[in-house]
Amino acid sequence: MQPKNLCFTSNYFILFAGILIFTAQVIAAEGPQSFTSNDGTLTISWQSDFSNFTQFQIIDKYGQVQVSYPVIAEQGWVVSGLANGQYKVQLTHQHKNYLIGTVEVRHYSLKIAFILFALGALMFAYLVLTLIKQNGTRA
Amino acid sequence: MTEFTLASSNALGILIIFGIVWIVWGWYLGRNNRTIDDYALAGRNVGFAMATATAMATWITSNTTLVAPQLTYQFGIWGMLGYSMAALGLILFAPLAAKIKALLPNGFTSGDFIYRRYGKASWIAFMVISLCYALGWLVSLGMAGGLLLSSLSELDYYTGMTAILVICVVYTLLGGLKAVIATDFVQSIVIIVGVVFIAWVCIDQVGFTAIHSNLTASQPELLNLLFPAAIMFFFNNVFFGIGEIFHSNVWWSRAFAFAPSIGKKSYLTAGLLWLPIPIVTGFIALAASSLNVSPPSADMVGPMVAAALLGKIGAVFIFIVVFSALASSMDSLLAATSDLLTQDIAKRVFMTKASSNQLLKINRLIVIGLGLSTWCVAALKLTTLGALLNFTGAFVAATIWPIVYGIYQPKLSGGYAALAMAFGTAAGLIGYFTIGFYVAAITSCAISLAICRIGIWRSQSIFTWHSLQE
Repeated sequence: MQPKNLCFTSNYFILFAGILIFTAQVIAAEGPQSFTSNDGTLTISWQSDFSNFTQFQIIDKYGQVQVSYPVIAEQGWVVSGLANGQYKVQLTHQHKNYLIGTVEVRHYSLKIAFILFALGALMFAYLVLTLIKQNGTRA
Repeated sequence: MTEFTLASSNALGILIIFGIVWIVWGWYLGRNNRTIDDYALAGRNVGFAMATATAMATWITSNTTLVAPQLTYQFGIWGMLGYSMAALGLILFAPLAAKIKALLPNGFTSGDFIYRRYGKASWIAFMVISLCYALGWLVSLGMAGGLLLSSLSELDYYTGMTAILVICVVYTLLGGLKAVIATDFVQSIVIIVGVVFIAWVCIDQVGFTAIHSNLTASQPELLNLLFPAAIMFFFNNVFFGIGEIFHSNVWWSRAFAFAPSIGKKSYLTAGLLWLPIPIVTGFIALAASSLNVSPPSADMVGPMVAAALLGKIGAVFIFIVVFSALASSMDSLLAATSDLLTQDIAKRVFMTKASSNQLLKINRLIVIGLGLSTWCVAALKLTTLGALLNFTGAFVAATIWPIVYGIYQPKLSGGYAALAMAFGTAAGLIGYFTIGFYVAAITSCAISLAICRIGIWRSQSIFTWHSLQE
């Protein structure tokens, strides 16, 4: 049984559950993989066979290189700030390419983000008003 | 390993010099401590400059130097601004600090207040929350020391973690709050000069135009003001910061330690001075793509960009700045948590008639015990820094309203305050595990507020403030 006090939270969960999921934590494995991200951040962990390549790249749907970083031994990559869309994640060395996988970035709904923002703003305004009012009356 | 990685001998040299300076200074400052008041509350007479510096330096933690760049790297402009809003915790605590000092002129801890204001049930809930948070923060600081050292030098995680713990435990043990406040003063100057210098070098070497055009091309969402995840993060972080400050004995012990009429001014000034620091530390993360830096872990982006800008000298520089930030928080937390355990557990539960000397000895033993416990948990490296910190948000945000109403609203009873803390924390944890860290603190705070309001609405009793002073 769920306590009544959690009713608000339960509704809140139902509202958000289908939309909010954790940031994609990418575990590299053999063969191309499909990744998703809801906040434009992608984490690629290091794999020993990556050392055969010199550049890590993310390619957008038009085939343009969106980001390109050097390969440093034993270090993975965290790429952030990607806009909505589909991308290819690959490693290159001279003319040789290795496809790590594809990533689909679909950001959280703006409507839900603003609802949460408004809830926070209201509660914050109430806290500030409480402090101002109490300090004014009890000074 | 990168070109800016420090050799083991150089990193060890810096650690040893650092350790000796802080420990000798701690011993020098603490040599005249005679009573528990001297040791735990610096004689209750800390002046404005020291008070402001210690409040600001303590709030500049591993979060500010490692997590603010991380959040900027992940959430862009909103991440940078959102993180700086943690200053609101200090600013809003300013009027509370004055009121706390007036209500409890001889008080010792935040637990002390909760016990006298709300009774045992609330006190138990509060102590559980407070100790979970304190241990979480201590472990995160130990982990940050280990991560910092292993990312900038050839030394391993365990050496860095052990070094920061040993140095802070020894000088806190020798000097008490006096040493903590004095070292915080110096550390705050090192930190501010350091972050401003790095930001200046970043602007000078990379430039706003290059940063903007690189972000537009490769990380466009970081410049987008309608970035949904970042908008969600904003107020959650505000309430996390407020909860951390409102409940923690780190800030209450300072309110008791500051001279009369100093607390309000100091917390307000410290908050205003702290406000731009995450913007400065966060800003350098925006230069990462321009410098071809992609961190293996998002929380290492700040040190990596600084080291890429300044080379090996930069690695030494960032090492000193971040180590100062870690030390300034860890010493404060060790001192405040040992006070809480001494006064609220040892004295209240086990040794009600203990003398000042006995309490002083117990306090020192607790500092050592806390250091050892922190080492044991941090050595396990169970989770990431960010995950550990955000987890505590569910706990601390549940205490905001019981603290505020405890100070200003006489109608809230102990039973409802306990329920607000317990159910608020539970709701925050459910939010954390089922949705994500974006909602943990805000959910916890909202549920806690709802229960407090019901408690006030149904209240039949009125608390009399002067009973706090008995």
